[in-house]
Amino acid sequence: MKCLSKFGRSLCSVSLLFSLSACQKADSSGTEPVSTTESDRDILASFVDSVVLETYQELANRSAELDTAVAQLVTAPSEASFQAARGAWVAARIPWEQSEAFLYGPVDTFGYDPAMDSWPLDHAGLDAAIAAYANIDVDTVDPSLKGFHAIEFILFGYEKAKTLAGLSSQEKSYLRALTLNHKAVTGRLLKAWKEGIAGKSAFALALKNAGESGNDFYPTTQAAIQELLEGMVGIADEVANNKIAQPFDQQDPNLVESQFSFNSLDDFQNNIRSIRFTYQGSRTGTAAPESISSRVSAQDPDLNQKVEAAIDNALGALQAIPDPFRKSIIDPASRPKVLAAQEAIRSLQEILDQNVRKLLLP
Amino acid sequence: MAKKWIVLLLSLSSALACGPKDRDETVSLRSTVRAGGETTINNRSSGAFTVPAPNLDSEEFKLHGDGDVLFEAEFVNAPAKVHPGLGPTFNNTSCRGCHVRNGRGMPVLGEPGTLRSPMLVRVSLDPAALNRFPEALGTQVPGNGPYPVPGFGTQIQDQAVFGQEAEITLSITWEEIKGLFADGSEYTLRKPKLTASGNPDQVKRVNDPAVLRSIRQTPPVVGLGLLEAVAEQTLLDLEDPFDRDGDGISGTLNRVWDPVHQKVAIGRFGWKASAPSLIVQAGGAFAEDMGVKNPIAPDLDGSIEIDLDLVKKTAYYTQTLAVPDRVKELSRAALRGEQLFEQLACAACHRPTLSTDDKSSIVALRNQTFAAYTDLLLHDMGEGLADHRPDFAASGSEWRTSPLWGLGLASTILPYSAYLHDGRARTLEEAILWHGGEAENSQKAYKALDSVKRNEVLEFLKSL
Repeated sequence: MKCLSKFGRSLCSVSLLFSLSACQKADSSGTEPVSTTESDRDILASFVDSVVLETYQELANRSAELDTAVAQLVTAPSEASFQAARGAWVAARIPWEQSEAFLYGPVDTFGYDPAMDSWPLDHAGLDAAIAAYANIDVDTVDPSLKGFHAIEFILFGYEKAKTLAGLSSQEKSYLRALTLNHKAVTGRLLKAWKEGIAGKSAFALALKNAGESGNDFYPTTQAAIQELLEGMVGIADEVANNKIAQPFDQQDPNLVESQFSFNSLDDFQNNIRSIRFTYQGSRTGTAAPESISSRVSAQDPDLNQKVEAAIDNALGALQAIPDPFRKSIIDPASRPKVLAAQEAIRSLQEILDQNVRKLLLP
Repeated sequence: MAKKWIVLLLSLSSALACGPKDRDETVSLRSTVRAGGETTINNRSSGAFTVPAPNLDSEEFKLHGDGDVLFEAEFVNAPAKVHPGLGPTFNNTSCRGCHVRNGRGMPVLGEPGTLRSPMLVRVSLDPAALNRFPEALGTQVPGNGPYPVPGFGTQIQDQAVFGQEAEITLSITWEEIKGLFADGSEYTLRKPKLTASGNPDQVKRVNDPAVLRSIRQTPPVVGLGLLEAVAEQTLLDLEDPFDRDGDGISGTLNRVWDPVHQKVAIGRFGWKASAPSLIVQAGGAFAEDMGVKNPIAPDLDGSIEIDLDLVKKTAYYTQTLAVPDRVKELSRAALRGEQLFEQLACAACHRPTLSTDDKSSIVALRNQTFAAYTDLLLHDMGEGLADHRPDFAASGSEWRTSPLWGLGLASTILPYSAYLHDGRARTLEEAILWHGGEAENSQKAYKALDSVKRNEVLEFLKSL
């Protein structure tokens, strides 16, 4: 039905009104559609409250604990406080990697992602910054001189070979400045979602109130549901085709992220868990009653099983690669395992991108 | 110049489908022209600008992926094992540092903390003051381009690698201006005021009245390959420099320097259409925005830090991104707004469709008709928006018609972002209200609408 003129277009609208009222009658006597604005909002609320805010809260808490551990290392250096600080870095890294299925909103808008997780490092600049630590404001230095990987480099060094004795007093001081800054940035990220910063409303509301009049962030609940889906597809793609593929294809260990701490494979697994948590609307390992998982389950239980199995496969395949990842990528014996992990993650990506997409966004 | 062109196709199947959307009294309509032709995707999420065009073949897809890595790459100070070449002075450290999710950047400059400078300031010397700056004689950019400012060049780099001095520190404050709609309701606009601090000589220089300054916001990078593949003749035919059709709207192409072909070419990219091609745009951005010198824009001594292949791949990435289609379920308000958009003659410059020819080296871009809502021409936008800094043939009050595709995704892609060349418009309505010059009549007609009709125009824009 083409409406070629303005007159024609208005005629079209009239005929459409009739068909609309017919629809409403048919709907009220039939079964409720699976997707409604209300049920979409329930999924979004579970996701925001039980996944995003909890993850960022944990990131803020553990970044504060990292700072405390580093303060202890600086004031009372001992092998115990050195290892405790290293452990605190690994612990803080977990919620960050578990947040990577939702790298949208304030983490992008306010530049927190580069400030926390820039890779690669500017090694020459880092040496200079460490030497000049007393005169610089870490908040304003380049992202490549701070955040997780700058902290990691000072605590772990090349090949995880840093020792307490090898940690200079200047390094310790710069390290403390870094962890203080990191604690502040993770706190701001949580606040931007939870309460809002710089006069902006809480970003949590942008997702939870999707489809409300005047919500330009997510004008429809479908757009917000799509945001969740694209976030899951995107991180699967990122792990298989960038984080693993870049160093593996180029056979260059220098490109491996979290290489100083040998934490790369844990990073990747936590990225996959980030998909599970988003999918389940929960971080407990059991799907929330209002979640993408429950919606898929209600309409296609087999597909739900397939998603869960694909997540387990991806995690298993990553666990099968020997640590450290930076060595495995150039070790012919590990090659089949790296390829298998890529394959498993791509398969998960495909199921989400094709099957789950069809169901969620028909 | 305005043409009644929009033909709406009512999709019978979706009109009759009974679903929750019908209850919201929306109707399923689809413009016959998809936003990006065959490069179009359906995506209303924050990643909508980051998807490869769906019609790329496997080789093109691979090349796009290589470019994606480069577009995201954080450059660092040399020597470094990965991506060396940043600085010594720069505005940001990666393409995506400003083009967040390939969209616009936040309207801040020199922000302390994590944001750095997603906006930048172009500068040039007023040729009338050359007698006071003899060192600038003979430095004019070829093709009758701008005169670089001694000590700054044509762009201020307000960041530096660790241990080096930035050229200057810049910040922005906003001045508010109030106005009234015809129905008596009030609105508030804001415009930026630039403040420089740092080295006193540099501050004095940048505040010299002969130094022309223009604040530029990061524009989105989606759909650029299609704009590049529009035949030159198509654009020449759209020009109407003497307003022969008497609609009050002229429109000319910029004529700019093409360093690749070493000749004057028509300009297509940038707020004043000062870049002739995406490879020139990419090479210029590497050198000016990040301090990464390259064969398109080498250092003064001819040295480079990245090779041509890397610049080409980065440009290729921007050529081959998918364009998200406008919303599938258009509200009645959006449909009425679309009619108003034509009636107010907005579509005279924001020309709804353009077509590519069959010449593009990228097969996916050949013979596409797409809905970018631009004519790629320069128009006089009046005193209110003027930056008083000519850029090649573009005068101090001329700006290239900004494409409107994906406009409704701006707040999804980058929450709290803003509009117009210097990010002064916090809302789409503010952007409309700043239109002057050739667009003055359209702006006045918008102001004369009642609040319901004004909202319909905005709903149309948000549907893009």
